[in-house]
Amino acid sequence: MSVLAVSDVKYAYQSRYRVVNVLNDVSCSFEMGKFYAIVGKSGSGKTTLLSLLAGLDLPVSGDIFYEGSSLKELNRDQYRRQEVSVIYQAFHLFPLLNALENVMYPMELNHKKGKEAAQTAKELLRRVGLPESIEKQLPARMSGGEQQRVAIARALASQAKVILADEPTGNLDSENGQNIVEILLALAHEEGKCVIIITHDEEIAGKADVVYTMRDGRLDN
Amino acid sequence: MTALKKAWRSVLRHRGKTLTALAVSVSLSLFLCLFAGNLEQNRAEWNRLSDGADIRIQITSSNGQQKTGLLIDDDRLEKIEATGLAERGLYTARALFTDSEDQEEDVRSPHFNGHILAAYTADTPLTEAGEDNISYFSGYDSSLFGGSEAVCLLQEDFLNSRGLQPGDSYHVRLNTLKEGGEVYPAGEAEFKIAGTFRESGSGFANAVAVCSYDTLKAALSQFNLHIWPSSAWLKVKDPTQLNRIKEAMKEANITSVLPQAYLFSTQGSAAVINDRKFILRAEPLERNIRLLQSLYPLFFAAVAVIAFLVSYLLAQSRRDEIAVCRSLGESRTGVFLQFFWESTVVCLSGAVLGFGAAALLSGISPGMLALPLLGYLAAYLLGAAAAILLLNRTNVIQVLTTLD
Repeated sequence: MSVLAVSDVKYAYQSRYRVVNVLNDVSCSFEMGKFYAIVGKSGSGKTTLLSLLAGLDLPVSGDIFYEGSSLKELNRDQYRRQEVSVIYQAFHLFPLLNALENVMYPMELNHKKGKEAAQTAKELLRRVGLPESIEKQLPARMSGGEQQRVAIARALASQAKVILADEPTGNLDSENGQNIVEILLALAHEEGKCVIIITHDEEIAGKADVVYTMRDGRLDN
Repeated sequence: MTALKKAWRSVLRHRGKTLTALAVSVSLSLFLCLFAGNLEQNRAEWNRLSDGADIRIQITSSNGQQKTGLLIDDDRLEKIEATGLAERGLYTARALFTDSEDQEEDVRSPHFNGHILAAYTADTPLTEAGEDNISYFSGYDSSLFGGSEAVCLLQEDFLNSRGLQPGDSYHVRLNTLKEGGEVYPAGEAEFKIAGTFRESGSGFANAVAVCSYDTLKAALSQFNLHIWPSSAWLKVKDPTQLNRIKEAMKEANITSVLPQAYLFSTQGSAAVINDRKFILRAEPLERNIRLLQSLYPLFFAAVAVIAFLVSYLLAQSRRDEIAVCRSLGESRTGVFLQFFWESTVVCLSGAVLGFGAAALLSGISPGMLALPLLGYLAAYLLGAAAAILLLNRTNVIQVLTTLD
């Protein structure tokens, strides 16, 4: 059964002088335990689709279903807190919070208490391959690979079923990029999560269970 | 972690932004404090001026030259008193009386020789002649001049010539003055002798009997006759209401003095007010107070606008942080509260520092600044809340994809 289903979704926004149609009748579905890649040229609507899957906005027409329930009917703040996590190309860590505090942030939103949240955060950092010494460091002192691993650990902190990653290796060298992809693959195949990744990298796309191609706001399987 | 804890953490970690906002808050609150303090000092000076002012309305002849021997319409004085803005100073009036010892009682007769009954609203004319001049009968004192009891004081020699004693009843035939100065018979009246005096004070040097103004007024009203005070001055209760008092005097047909008038009336139709010194000091103060008061709302509006701009710019610089918070599932309310608490911490800290500094520098009592402080906090937080609400509408997708 699909954990996420996109049905005839259209999305547009008003720029200064015109309406920009970003997605046109997009339909697709995503299942637990699989690694999905969405590929396409820049401006094809990949990131917008990911953002809609994350519940950051609602489609102009059509619908997106999470476990059979329309996102229009769900509390989308709670959906983002507990059901879905996003990893960004630019990491988007809080610059003045250290690694541990960044990972704890989603847990604080879910009312998990101090010591318990800190312990869980430490375990998550170990899981993504980061040493104890990184815990008190600010993002500015970390490498790109380290920052992305912290972002992944933060994405896992809410125990979300769905992990969305927008070009997670875009700012990393090949070695770090491969390590990140391995972690994401393990989350899908070993932990049974639904991992959806946007990428330009053919090698990464080649490792996916399903590849969707975005072209001019439309989706091909 | 509560929004407040997150806010506190954020305030401590965004040192540069916090210090900037704090500097703005301190400056605004310091300026407001000095402004408010200036206004309060002006008001305090105004109150001191008003409380200490001894302003009198002296009723005079129309050319202002004569203050006694007038024929004042008592109704005019009552009209001014009725406003509540002025109270009796000293009114004096007189009547003529005869008793059983007198042979001629007809006022129209050329041989009429009535005795003077002087009436006062206070014992001032008598005490001016000397403290030991008056001797009150048991149970009476100077307070009788504030009442309307039918009592009187008799001159000692006159008392002895009539074989009377303090405490006796004294029957007289009263005559009063009519409008125009004509003596007019009133009727019989009875007074209790409440004491004696050796000689009366100025104004009624030949008076052999003295009573309170209201006693004579009551006695004459029995015969439907009016009292015509011969001199009067009133004390202004509230100098800040001088204009209203002058309006009331106009309505009572008491005008300004006409010093150049060749012909003048002794009907007590003019008045002199010793308000010049007060006005010279009060007018600039009043102008200052009005100006500062008119600027007050503008200042609070300026605080709100500045707070809006500062909060907007500071939150704008953390727009990506807001977008990330929202993408992680923080609600709009949670984001609003966190940033609002940050503004509150900065605003309160700035206010304490600013107001504390101003109180030290200017010596203004902190109690005077409570209301301005509350107004400042309200204006600042209103501006900050508006800015945060506006930024909370940020399109998260656009921000995050732009950054990417």
